[in-house]
Amino acid sequence: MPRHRLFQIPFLIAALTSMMLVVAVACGSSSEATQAPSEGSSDTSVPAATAVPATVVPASAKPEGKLTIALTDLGNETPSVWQEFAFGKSYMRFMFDALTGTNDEGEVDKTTGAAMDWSMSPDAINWTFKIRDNIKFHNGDALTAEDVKFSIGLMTSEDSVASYKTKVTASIASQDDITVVSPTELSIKASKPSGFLNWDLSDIQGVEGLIQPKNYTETVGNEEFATSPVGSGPYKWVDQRKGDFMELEALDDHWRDGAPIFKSLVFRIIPEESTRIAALKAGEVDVISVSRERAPQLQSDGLNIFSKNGASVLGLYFHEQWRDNSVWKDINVRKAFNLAINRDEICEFIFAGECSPAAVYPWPDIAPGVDTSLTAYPYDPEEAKRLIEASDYNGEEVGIRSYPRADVPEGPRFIEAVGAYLTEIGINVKIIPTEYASYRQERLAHTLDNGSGYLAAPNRPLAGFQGVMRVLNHSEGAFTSTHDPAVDKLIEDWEAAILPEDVVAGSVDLYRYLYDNYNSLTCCNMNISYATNDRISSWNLGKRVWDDGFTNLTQR
Amino acid sequence: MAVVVDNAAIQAVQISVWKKAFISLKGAPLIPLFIIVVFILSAILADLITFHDAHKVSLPNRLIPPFWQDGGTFSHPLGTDPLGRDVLTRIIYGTRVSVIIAGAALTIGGGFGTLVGLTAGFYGGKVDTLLMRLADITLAFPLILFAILLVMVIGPSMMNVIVAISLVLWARYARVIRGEVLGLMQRDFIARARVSGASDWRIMMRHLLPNVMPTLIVLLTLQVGWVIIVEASLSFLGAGIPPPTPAWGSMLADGREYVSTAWWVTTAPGIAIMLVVLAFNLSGDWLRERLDPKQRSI
Repeated sequence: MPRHRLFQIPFLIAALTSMMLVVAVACGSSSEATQAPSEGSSDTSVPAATAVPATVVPASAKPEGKLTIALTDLGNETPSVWQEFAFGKSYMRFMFDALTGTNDEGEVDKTTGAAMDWSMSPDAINWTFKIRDNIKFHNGDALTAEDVKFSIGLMTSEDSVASYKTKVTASIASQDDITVVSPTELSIKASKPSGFLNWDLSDIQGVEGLIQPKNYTETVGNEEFATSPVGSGPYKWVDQRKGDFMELEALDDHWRDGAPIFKSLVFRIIPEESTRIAALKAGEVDVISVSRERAPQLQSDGLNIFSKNGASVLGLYFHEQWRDNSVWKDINVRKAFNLAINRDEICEFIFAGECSPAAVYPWPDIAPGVDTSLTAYPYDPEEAKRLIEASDYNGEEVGIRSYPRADVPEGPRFIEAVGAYLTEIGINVKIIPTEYASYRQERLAHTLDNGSGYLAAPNRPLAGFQGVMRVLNHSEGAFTSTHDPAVDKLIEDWEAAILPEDVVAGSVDLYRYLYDNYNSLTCCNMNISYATNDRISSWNLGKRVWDDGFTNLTQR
Repeated sequence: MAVVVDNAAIQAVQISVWKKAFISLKGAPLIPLFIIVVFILSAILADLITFHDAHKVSLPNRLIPPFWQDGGTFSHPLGTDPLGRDVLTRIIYGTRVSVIIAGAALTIGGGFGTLVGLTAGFYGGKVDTLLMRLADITLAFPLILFAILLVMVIGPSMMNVIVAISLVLWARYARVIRGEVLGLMQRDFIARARVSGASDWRIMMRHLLPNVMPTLIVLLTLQVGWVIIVEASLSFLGAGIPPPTPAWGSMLADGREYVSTAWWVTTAPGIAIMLVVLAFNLSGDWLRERLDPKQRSI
């Protein structure tokens, strides 16, 4: 059948060509996945993320190559300012700009945010923010004061899961308090003196200060926005598979960062530490979070280790302690819990010496306003037993949630050790394996009667500390574990202070009160570590909260 | 009237019992049976044969290697885990968890499945169709996923693991037993029982159940290993026995981050799981050959 044969030849040629193309593309993409920007090319002469200052880079530099970061989790993996919380900040800061910018020293910075300037009235009630006029969202729309007002509205809405929204809503009672004066000017009338409002609307803590476009969000709707988000950060959205990966693509020229080093940025979620290490060694990823215990071994294996000393304070919370059925309503029980724990042993053997016993949170190294005479509670199991016997505790079950966390891969072991210490003094402990997201929901819903869980709360500047104290300890705080009028008053007086010395004095009073009342189980001041391959030779992890300077990995 | 005791006859009968037992064990997999005996005795006597507290955390003693390695000690023959607990003690206590879960899940799941299989095979028709479709639906679920989902919803605990495994286990029994019953229903003794006026329940319990018992015993033996694996998998994935209760699966999970530095934390429970599962499977195969005339003739 000649016609049939003639028909087959072009078909075969086409098939062979297609196969060759597929192979070529596959080889090309795999090499791209593992190669840093070529050192030989003139415009990509920076092999490491932050090794060379921006001035050395030619103006024509363009993002190239791919950087892959593997972490335990990425928050809600929902890139919207009201549907994401602080743990998602690692990727959110790549996509969105904040109203008030910050720098690596943990300070607000007028050169890095959407607001180029701001001012506050002497009574700390009226705030004015001047917005830059050269910021564009990824869809081409200009970022204006309307977008800022809209984003604050979303973030403070009832359904918002933003971690520190109650700190903001304590100052901004209603959307009516925000006035768009012009596209480049926004004024806010706070409902109480708010000396740190610019901090609250920055990216220093969670995602509260990040801005998403009003027009685009209203056009596509919230649901669509969460799957096709648009921001104004140095990277734009490409793709996502929840629980697996998230891919972003660099702009060629960002108003603040210029041209990032890497064209493609991939976040992978790999909960298992050994899997992350294997992926790093195999060259599948470039940066991983690593436990303190494994860091020295990886360093001896030739990988780079970057640490942030005193990054966070690890502790357990005594949830719903104000309720009548709570075992922690009795101060003796709270004290006994604190005396039962051997903090030195935990630091040495669970965290490989990469931490130190802590008395309070945050730790004074970073947060001014701490009474430095406060020391970690001693390990005294005999006294703890005596206190339990003298208390109203009658063997009620205490359910401690256990879950892995990106910043505390040792978490489940820590909880087992704590459970063992508490069992020694006669506490009926039940360890409940769960996920952090579930525990967080329970905290928000305040359904954790006689329940506890751990958190490595990041150390933060004083302004941030104010925010977190309201969230964690004020009766109206979203995650509060206390309903104590004395604590409420201390927080309110502190927040009302305007002069720096008054703020520090308020902080000292609050610290002392919480310490004397054994309000929670503060354990240790911990370092945090990451391992990288040779592509990352230097990295400033910065002092922002819930974000370890990932944006520095891509900045020239 | 004086009763004359014939001691010689009694002795002859006793000898014959021992002889029969010996003959019945001929060809038995003795090592697997020995492992099973040790497994069950460990579960029963765990409190008596261990010297350490399975829950006692001793951080300064963490990750001590087994006694034959440098730094090892006879006090911890198989070393200690990342929290300083004795690995051997936890393995022995882990047998208790495995025995309880396997026993309970097989009793509940196997018992219910057998009942369903008897009912479906006996009544046939719509009852059979309905029950077997239910079994098919259960079998179609990805087992581990289903168990994890269930345990995540109702919370991890030993009871919930038993419930989760039983809920997926019954269908296998129902299918096999139903097949056996369909064959038996064609036999004369069932027809005779019907003619003699025996109730449905009596036929199922007195005539069908004893005849499916050999199959049931073989299935139970083979499923012990399967249940142990499922329990270990659930515990490994964090959906099984919550800490600090020692369970082999969670022991494996505890040590996975130390595979390269403290191999014994995972290897010891891993070997325990392998030996016990292998022992039950080999014993099950042997039982099947012993109890199935067709296999025996081959």
